[in-house]
Amino acid sequence: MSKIIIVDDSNTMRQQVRQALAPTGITLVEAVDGQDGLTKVKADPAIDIMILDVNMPRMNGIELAEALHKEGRIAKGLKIIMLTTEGHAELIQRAKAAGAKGWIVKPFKPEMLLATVKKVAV
Amino acid sequence: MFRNLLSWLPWRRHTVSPGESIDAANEPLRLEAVQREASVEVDAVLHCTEAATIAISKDLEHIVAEVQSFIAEIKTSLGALQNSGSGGSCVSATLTHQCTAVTGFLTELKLVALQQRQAAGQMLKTSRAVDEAARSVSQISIASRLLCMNTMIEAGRLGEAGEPMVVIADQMRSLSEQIDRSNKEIAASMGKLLPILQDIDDSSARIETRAGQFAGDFAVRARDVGVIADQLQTTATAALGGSDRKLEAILGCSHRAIESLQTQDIVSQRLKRVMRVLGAAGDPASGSGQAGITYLSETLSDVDARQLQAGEVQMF
Repeated sequence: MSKIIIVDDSNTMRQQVRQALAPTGITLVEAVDGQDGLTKVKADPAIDIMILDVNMPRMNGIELAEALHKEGRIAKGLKIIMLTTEGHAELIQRAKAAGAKGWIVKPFKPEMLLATVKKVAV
Repeated sequence: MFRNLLSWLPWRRHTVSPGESIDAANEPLRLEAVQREASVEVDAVLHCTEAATIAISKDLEHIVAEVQSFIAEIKTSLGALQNSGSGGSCVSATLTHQCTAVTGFLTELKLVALQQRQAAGQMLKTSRAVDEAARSVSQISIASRLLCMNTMIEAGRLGEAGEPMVVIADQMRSLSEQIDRSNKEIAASMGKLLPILQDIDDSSARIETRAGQFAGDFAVRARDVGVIADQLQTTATAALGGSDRKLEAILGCSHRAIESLQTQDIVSQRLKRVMRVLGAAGDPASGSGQAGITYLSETLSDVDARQLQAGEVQMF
């Protein structure tokens, strides 16, 4: 069973993700920005999926993905799904280079997020 | 909530009484204050919007859960209706089976009543023949007793030579009296038996007639029951299919509403940033740090590059 962290500075968006994933019974951890996300992922090795916003205060999502890539956490199996209003090809390329598995542009369809999470979980 | 903001609006603050001079030196200070106040108010509005969005989202989730539960209950009830008969057969089949059983029973009842009436008629006929025979025997018995009496008179005339005939005539009289008594008992029994047999005959005729009438009425009702059972089955099946479609439609609406709430949140976040940018512009001392988040796409030079659109997914 996966343990997921949602890193997003929007309380509403975190709640929407929680609701979308509720049917799976997956344990969900929340982080309010990139720095908070980094601290929580480092502290909890059981987290194996990260749903990550891009534009956040303190540390953005691309920087967080790159930091985790650098630390070898992605190589150890952490899967990152970017969930953002951004859709620029250059940013997508940076996330991909950092080891992200997917990119979803907000607003998202709950069933689509669920399907994407299931896809990366296997 | 907007009262404070309105009180700070420039055109309100710039309204002066005739003859009153405007202090130009204080104008930048007032502008900064307006920007600060506006920022506070917008933050408050966005905070309320966020709370409302989360509440709506939770309510939506609750509504969907309630609808799902309600439809599950309906499906359970309709399923029970469809499989409520013995051995899990549907209502329609059970009712049809029951109608067939009742029709069969009525046909058999009519046949039994007919056979009983025929038997009762046969017994009546036989009993009447026995009664007739008993009357004949009674007449023979009377004639026999007269014959005995005449024989005894003739034997008395013969004197001593007629004594044996007297003995025989006396035995014949005794025998005739016994036959008469038995005959009377038979007649009495037949007198009781005949009305009973007549009642049986009448009852059988009534049962046969009533069973015939009921079978006729029931045939009409059985057809109605068949139609109702079929309608019930059709309605249950349609309702089961309909409930799935309704649930799908409700879930679709819910998902669209959730997307709209997300859009609202995105707009709120953008508005928050606009306010921070405005705040930073009004307070140069604080620098660009007031703007908070830097939107990465704004830092990119190639804004015309291929972009993923809202709702799109790309897997790597």
